[in-house]
Amino acid sequence: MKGYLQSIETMGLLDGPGTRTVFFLQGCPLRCAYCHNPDAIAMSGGKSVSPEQVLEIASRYRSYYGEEGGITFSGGEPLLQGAFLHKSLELLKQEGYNTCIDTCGIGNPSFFPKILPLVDTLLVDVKAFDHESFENLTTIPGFERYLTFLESLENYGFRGQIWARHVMVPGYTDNEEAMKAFVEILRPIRHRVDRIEILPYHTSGVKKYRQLGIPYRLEGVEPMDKERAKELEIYADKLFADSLRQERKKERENNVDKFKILKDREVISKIEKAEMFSSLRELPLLREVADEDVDGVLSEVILSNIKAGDYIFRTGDAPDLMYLIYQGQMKIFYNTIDGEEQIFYIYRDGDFVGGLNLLVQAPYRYVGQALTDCKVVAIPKSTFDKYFYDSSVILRSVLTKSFERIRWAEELIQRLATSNASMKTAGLLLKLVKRIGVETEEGIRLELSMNREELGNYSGLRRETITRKLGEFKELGYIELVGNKVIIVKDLEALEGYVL
Amino acid sequence: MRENLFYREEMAKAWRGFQPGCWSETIDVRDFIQGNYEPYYGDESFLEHATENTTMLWKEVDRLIQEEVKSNTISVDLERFSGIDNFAPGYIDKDRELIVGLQTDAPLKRMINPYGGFRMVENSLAAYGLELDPTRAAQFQEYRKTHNQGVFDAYTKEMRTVRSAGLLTGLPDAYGRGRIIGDYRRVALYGVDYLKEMRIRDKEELTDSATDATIRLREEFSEQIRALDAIKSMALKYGFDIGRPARDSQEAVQWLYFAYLAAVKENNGAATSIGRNTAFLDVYIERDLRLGLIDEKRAQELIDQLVIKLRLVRHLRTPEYDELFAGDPTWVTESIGGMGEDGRTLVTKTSYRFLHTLSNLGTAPEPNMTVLWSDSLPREFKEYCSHMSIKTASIQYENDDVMRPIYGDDYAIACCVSAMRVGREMQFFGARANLAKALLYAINGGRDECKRDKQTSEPITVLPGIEKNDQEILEYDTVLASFKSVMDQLAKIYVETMNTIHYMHDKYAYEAGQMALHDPYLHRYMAFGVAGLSIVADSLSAIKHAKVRPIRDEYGIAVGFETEGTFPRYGNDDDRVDQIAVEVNTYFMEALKRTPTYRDAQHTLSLLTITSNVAYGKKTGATPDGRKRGEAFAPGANPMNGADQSGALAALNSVAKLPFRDVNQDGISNTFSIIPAALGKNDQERVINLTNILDGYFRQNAFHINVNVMDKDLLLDAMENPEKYPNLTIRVSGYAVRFNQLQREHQLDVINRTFYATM
Repeated sequence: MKGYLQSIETMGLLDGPGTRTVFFLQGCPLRCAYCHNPDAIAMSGGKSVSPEQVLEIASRYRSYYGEEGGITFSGGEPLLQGAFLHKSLELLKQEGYNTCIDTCGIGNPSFFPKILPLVDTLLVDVKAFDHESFENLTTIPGFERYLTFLESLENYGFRGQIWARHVMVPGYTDNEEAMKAFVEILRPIRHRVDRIEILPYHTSGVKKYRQLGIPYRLEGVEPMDKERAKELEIYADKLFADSLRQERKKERENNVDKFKILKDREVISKIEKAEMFSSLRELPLLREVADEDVDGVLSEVILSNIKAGDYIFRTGDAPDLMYLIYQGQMKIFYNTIDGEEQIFYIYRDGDFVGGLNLLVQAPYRYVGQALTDCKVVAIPKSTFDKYFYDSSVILRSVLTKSFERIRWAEELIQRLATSNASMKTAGLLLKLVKRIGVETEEGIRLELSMNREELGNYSGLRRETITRKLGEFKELGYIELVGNKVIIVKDLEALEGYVL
Repeated sequence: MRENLFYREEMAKAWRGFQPGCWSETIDVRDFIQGNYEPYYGDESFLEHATENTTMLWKEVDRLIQEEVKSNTISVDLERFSGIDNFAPGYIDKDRELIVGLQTDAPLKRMINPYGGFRMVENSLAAYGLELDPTRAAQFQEYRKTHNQGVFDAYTKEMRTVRSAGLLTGLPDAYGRGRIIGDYRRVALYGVDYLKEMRIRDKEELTDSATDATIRLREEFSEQIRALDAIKSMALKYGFDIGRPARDSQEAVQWLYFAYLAAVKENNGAATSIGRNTAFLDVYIERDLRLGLIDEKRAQELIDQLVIKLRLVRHLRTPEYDELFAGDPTWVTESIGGMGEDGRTLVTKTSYRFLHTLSNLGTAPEPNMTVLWSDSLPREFKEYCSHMSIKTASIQYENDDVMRPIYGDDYAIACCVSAMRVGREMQFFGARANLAKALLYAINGGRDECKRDKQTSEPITVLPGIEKNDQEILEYDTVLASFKSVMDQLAKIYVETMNTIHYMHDKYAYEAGQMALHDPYLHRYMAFGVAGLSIVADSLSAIKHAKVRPIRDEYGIAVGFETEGTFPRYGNDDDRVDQIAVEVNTYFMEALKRTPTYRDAQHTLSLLTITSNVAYGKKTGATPDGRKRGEAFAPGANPMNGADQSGALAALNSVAKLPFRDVNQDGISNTFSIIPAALGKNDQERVINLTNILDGYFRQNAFHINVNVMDKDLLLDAMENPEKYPNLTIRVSGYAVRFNQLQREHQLDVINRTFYATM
């Protein structure tokens, strides 16, 4: 089996995430006015290559791919060579490569259900936003078929992410109305859209036309102003996030009842006592201890300084101590089978952990590690049994805490399962805003104690993905990055658009 | 019996808080570092801005540098000759200088170093309209013989012909050979007095029979002992007693700098690199930080001010020299990062502080920042390097994972790509052979394709006994066989020429100050070089895979080539041609090894051109790959411009195939330029992408890469409006250069080279 290539770009850094080897396939049914690969249009010609050769070439570049990179099939229209594309993707997937295709959705649909489940990223090229402009631009009446392709992606078994792109030509779609239409077209695939890109029209392809002796239909049209294109890209992005928000708001309303129950319980567990003891005495749990027991408890608990990076407890530790954070931050995490760190919670002053373990005598399942220098109070099981066991208030706060954690874990699972990278990143930022955000004149300042890797783990993303996403949000003007440890949230509303 | 040096009063004072080890009984800086440094795994968020003193000082230095570049004049001390202790102390702005010391008594005032060759001095001065006092000049020439005279006394006719035909060029027979790295850290750690004491003992213990070798060594030891006295005396004039070890971080930086300063006062070596100092200095800085003696601001200030000084090193050069080594480079190469043999990274906070000077002071070509890349470097550090590369185009990367197994974990890079153990090894620098020309000799019967006899106008025979090729269409096997005989002959002359040069260099321009900061008994490399490998590979590929018809002149010299059909070119990850490059290269290295070297040096070979690729091109006729007569070569191991048709990574993969160990063990230089928009959509993406490219390239055992991230338009604009870009820095083969200081033809060469853009 053979495919036909126009060329290979071994350093594709813009056609899909990360570093990618781009195979430009020969042949395209469209005749886009601005096409910058006119030499890839003809249905015949090109260099023949087998799927096995594709795999071999990919293996030569694997060392460059990092966490997100891989192979992209572009063109031309790659779906036109369905059998070859299917076989190539199959081989690549068997070897664990990340795959991407750059398509207008034209080809033999019988291959689509075979091809699309093998694709990690789909570069969807949205040529135009209505029937007429589509035909004007491409000379083919294919707009409806294109919409059907997008709507059917889920049915074809596509489970990856989408980068939606549009080439903006001055005088055609460089306005807000067009962006609304663009976002509307993305509606059926909205949950999979990871990035919206406006590619400003440029004229560097024109000389190819002269060389090939083909008339150029956009003769005289100036290149698209890059800044204006960027503005409209941000506009489209915000519109898109907003449409997601509206939708999720509805979803959320269905769950309101459950949230109420949680709130009620919190209210019950809040007991106020006058400030009459030392600062230790003011900590949760300890403040519940009866006056006559205070001296006993305080003499038995262990107050220790833990350095950032040190472990407080590890998987398998016996349940003979519980921990109360007097000061500082710790993370609770677990290493998955494939060695990745999955962070469950970040705890800070006044939080406690391990109460349930003492109660039911279950060893620790997760790892607790100090993120900053901490002061931690360790409460031995004997102390717990002697002074706490009979206090319904204390038991209740232990249970409430555990319940909160279960809620959090549920949310996390939901987030990991159903959201794309934008949503996850925005979600993480909002969570951080709530926990550590400080209002300043420039925006909400987040001083991070985690590095990129940990941020990624926390939000269920790879390090490179979260870094890329933060870069995008910065470009969109939502956030500002100050060094590696400070994020300033500039546009809270825009971020909320992704997550509610 | 070894002496525990902690019992000495001065040592005890200086070494308080350090873990003792082998290093505290005998000179062993590596052991000191390993026992005392702290790896740093964090990111750059701890870094501080420049202090006001640093900023003001740099402003003044920058003004002086810009003035020199703009006016194209230089200042020279015409009263004295070079030497460690020949100049009065010099300052820029004494009150603001935390680290002091200049080559002469004023910043940017250059020294006259006549020991390499006197004509070189006269030509250099004449180029700037300056003249040495005639009596002084006459006296020097009457009483003192130079390295250059020595070499020409001993050159054979054959050597002179090969040299003047341009088959061998850039030979260090009239200027300082450089490429020697003194272990400047020893002065800080032990103080000069102890080093001197040890060298005196070495000399006394050298009681072997008085053979040539022994006599030479005893004489050298004596020279070194005198040099140590001179270093101490020079520092004393600045008010510092470096006889004793440094007691704190400021002293450590200052002592180290004095040791380096002595090297650039004594010699004018093409490349005088400073070694590998960041982990060493970090030990002192961390100790002071722990004791609360300094804060981060001061720590950064120390490094910033050291770097200001390193940016001021200058030598007096001729315009011809500038053609080969454009932009007034001095290769103050500092090797940063890498991994230790025990698996801990050698990245410390001071690695960051050193790179951070590019932000605090702005970009500049020196010091030549060289990051020793390893797959195991902390990811934070890798990304910081990528970030700084994108921002400044001032960093080169070399593969620690291929060097560490050979050189251990305390080697440094001299010049661009030459690795050696600091203080334990040195190299004899040997410029390079023009293999593209050698290939033409294989076709033209050992006759030069450009050079003609002045009287008869007939071609000059450079290598006798090579059969002339009469084929209408060149046959691969014939050409290759003949090429191999050319390489055999050339290799022998090359080694013998180098032996001659270094024999005389040791005799007439010995680097006593630097050698005093080495072990007494050394391992030596003799570093040969090749230019034009990509042309040779493409040309042989054309002959093998297409039909190449030579066009011959009336003497039968091939002056042009017609090629029918297509052929694979080096730079596309295509083994059909890449393996030709490997084969030729390996063959030449084997040929070199057959001729023994001066002082039993180990033969090594580099693929590095500096900027001589332009000069080589001018002197070389048309080649079978389609290159026209006079057209520039590709720099270093780069593919020819436009040869790579499948994007940058294919080109990187081709370069990565060239074997480092035992073949190109003196380094394989590769320059990679890309426009920012092609590297990624935003800053964060660009950092990730560049980091992954570096990882991917080096994982294939590739050796070196220069990274430039900039727009071509910017360079074009800088060419027309230099005043808008006073400090625009760009990496060329193995070093960084201020773009405005390149001659126009070098600027054009840089611009015409492949800049990877979007498709």
